[in-house]
Amino acid sequence: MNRNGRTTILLVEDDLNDVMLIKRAFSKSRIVNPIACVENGEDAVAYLRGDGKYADRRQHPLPFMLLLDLKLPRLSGHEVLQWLRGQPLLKRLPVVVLTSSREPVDINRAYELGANSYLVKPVVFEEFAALMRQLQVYWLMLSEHPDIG
Amino acid sequence: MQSADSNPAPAHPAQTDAQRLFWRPLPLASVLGQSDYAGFIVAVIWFAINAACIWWAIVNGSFSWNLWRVDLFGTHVVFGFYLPWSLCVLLVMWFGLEWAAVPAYLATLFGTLHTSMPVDLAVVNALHNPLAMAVYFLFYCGLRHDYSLRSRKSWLIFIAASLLASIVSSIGAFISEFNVAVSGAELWSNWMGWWPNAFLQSLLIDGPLIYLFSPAIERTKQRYFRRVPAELFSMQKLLLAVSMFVLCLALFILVDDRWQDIRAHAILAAPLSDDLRAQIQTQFNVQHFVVWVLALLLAGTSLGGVIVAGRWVRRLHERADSETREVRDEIRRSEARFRNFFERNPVPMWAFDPDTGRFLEVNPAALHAYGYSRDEFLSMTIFDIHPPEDIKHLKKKFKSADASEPFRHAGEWRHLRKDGSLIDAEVHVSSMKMDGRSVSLVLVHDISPRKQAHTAMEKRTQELRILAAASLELAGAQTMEQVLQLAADRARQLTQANLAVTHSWGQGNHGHITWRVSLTPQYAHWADFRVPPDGTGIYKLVTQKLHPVRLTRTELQHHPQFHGFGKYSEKHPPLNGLLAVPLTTRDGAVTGALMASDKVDGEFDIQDEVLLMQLAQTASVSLENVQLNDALLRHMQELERRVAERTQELDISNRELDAFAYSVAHDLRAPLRAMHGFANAILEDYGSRLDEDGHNYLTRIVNAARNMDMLIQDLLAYSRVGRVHMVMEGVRLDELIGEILAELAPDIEMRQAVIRVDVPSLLTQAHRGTLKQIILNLVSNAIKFVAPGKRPEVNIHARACEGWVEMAVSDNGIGIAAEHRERIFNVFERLHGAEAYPGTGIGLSIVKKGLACMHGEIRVESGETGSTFRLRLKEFRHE
Repeated sequence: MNRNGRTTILLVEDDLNDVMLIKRAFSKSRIVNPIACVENGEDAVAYLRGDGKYADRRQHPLPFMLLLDLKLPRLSGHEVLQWLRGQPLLKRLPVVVLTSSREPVDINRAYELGANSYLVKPVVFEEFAALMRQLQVYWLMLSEHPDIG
Repeated sequence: MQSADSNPAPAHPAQTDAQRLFWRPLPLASVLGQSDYAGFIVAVIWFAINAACIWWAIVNGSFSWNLWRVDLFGTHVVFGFYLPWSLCVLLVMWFGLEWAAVPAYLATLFGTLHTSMPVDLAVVNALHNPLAMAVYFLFYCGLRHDYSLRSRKSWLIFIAASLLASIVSSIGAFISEFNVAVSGAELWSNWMGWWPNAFLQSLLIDGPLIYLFSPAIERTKQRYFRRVPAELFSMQKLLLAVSMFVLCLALFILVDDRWQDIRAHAILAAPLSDDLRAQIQTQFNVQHFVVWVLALLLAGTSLGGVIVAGRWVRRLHERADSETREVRDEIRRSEARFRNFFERNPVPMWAFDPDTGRFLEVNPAALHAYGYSRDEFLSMTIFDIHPPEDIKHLKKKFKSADASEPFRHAGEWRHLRKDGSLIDAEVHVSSMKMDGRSVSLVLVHDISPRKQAHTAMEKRTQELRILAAASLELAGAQTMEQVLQLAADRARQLTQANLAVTHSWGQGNHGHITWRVSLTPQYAHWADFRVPPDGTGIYKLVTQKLHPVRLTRTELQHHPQFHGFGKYSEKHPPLNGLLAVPLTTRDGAVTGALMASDKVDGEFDIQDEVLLMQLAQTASVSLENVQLNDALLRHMQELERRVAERTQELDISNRELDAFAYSVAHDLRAPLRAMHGFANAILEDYGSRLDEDGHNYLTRIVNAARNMDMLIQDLLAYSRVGRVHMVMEGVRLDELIGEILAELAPDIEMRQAVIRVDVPSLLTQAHRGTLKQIILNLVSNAIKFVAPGKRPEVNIHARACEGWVEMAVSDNGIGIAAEHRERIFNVFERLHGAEAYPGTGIGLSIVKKGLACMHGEIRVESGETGSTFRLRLKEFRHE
């Protein structure tokens, strides 16, 4: 585990099928980190700022990583990313873009805005599960995490 | 003479001709007859000298001028000064014998008469001094030598002449003895005083005077008596002088005889014996007789000699005259011949005085050419036959002309004829001397025809040049207005008109008239007239006919169709004559007209018409071209506009397609992922509760979802090629292939494929990602499409060739039938079932589209065993 004690992954995903599949892939891969889910960009921002219903950090702790879809209602993934990178401390939060798009426009834009990684969701579940496993190993176990709060 | 004056001292022993003075007597009669003041003055001086000599002789007496008496060798010698002698020597030396002889004779005559000498003796006695003068005459007339006394020889001659003249003069001493009874000794001493006296007087008084004044006297003679021919030598005068001597001798003998007679009578008066008296008488008579015979003989000889010699001389003269006459006739004939050359010469010729320019002579050819009568011509100067504007130049030429040059080409001149017309003349001038006067002989060649031909040729050349220039300009004209303006300008220039107008109303449409005007500066005040030709009135003539219209000023004014310019007449420049040609299309329709008016000089002629027609031809073609060009341009613009429109539409649809593709990518794959994920979840979580069919169905769902995902991904890849902006760069082919093989390593491993790579280090101009995709597709196809159980062998080969990189990927696969070779590049085109060779059928489509986007090419060669895909791309060049 890491020195901050933060273990939560914030998943920003509007497609509930995908949320379920991701959770399944996590459990299949025996990833025990708690997953906080928000369905749109606005909620993601609110969660990170601790606004409104997300004010209670015990119930809604700061994540150590953000899994961000790009095509989101209200506030797109790129906009969330842009906002995040403008915050004084939160900007250090590692962000992994997880989306269906393989378009160069989306990829380039995401990296320009400061995404730490860009992953395309595979259709084949086995591959999806494998990807999540690798994600967990790399970001949760191998990488050191910055202070953000 | 001038130089003798400026340098009078004969320092140099070698005399120059200028210093020599030859004895040039002036005939007395002609000088006295000369009716001007010079003749008068000389005559007065001469008469004064005569008077002075007579006065001197009377006052001083023949023998009363004794000054010094010297005893020489026992002889009593008398020296004195006799003025007439010195004066007469000067006269004979400077003017001639008769000038000196007359005063010399008169002085002695009156002097002796005054001393009561008997007249007969005085008359004879007075001859001695004229005879002495004749000695000078003989010397200088005969010897023809310089008398200036500025050389030793001249002095010697003068001394000799003076000595002899003095001795001749001294004869007088003997005659005067008759008058005064003197003894023999007295006579001797008298004579001995006489001749040295005269001699010394000549040397000491006349010599220096001659030396000093002769040049001035000669100059004066030259200046004032040039018209009096100076007689250099006269045979008759010489003979006369000689006969005078002989006659004198005879006279002296007679005088001597008389003296003897006196003495005889004196002797006979003495008391003598009769015998002796008779003897003496006889002796005297014999002597008397001999003397008379001798005297008569001498006189006869003298007279006869004069007569015979005179005749002889006359005959000589006659012969000389006849010879002279023959020569003169010959000269006259030759002159006539030469005159014929002048008079009958067909080339105009004249002679003029180069100082005044006055004509001196002219030949009929010139009179004919210039239209003057002979008298009219000769009363003019050469300035009268030149136009006034050339006079200045002519005078300058005159001043600079080198008269010493005998023959020169005086250039080409314009000459005026009597009727005022001009001739172009080539003039040759010959300078010469005639009667001591300089004369210029002129030959004139009328080069007007040559000049006219030359001018015409130049004009023609100029016209052709203008036409050629017009053709070029018209060919380059971009707009109808330009064509019309150029045509108008050139038309005005070609026809030398003050006004030219071009107008065009297009085909069969009089509504829209385009027109342009060209004006000379003279017409500048009409520059802003804006009266379009309306195709009525006189314009109808041009517009309704296909042929040109040419009218003179008068013809135009009286033409029934010419009605001026109506209400515009104030604003319209006047039409002075008209030359108009139509502008036509290729098929003969009249579309406009080219008009010129008011020729600068004269009326329009056929030449102008032809030129204008040629110009109109060019202008018509040009006009038509411009119109066609306009149409073409409009058409092209329309096309471009449409292309732009379509492109825009296409862009929009492309963007829609992008959006669609994006949706496909994102939205279609999400449910697919759900299908696959949950089907998989059922299989895993509830598999134990399903039977075999359930398993089978779910497995099919999972596979179908996977296939569909592949399909969507390939489609996206295909659509991305070309849609995504491709940055072309230098891609190192060998490196790229290395990467691709590394990526394909699992496949290669699985298939046990043999890959042979022969790719040098080449740079291709390509989009790296796309090229990678292309080669990847080709190589993976090569590995994939191999008959089952066969080991894939793939050869990758590349080389550079003339700016291209050619690459070949060949395999030992199943090959492609000839009829399918084009189809394989189509989207979703598959030749084999998915079971045998799985795939979406998009790989080669991506290859083709990608290469096309990178300006590359691909073709396929295939046989029974294996295919070769050959692709080529531009070689990368550093720029």
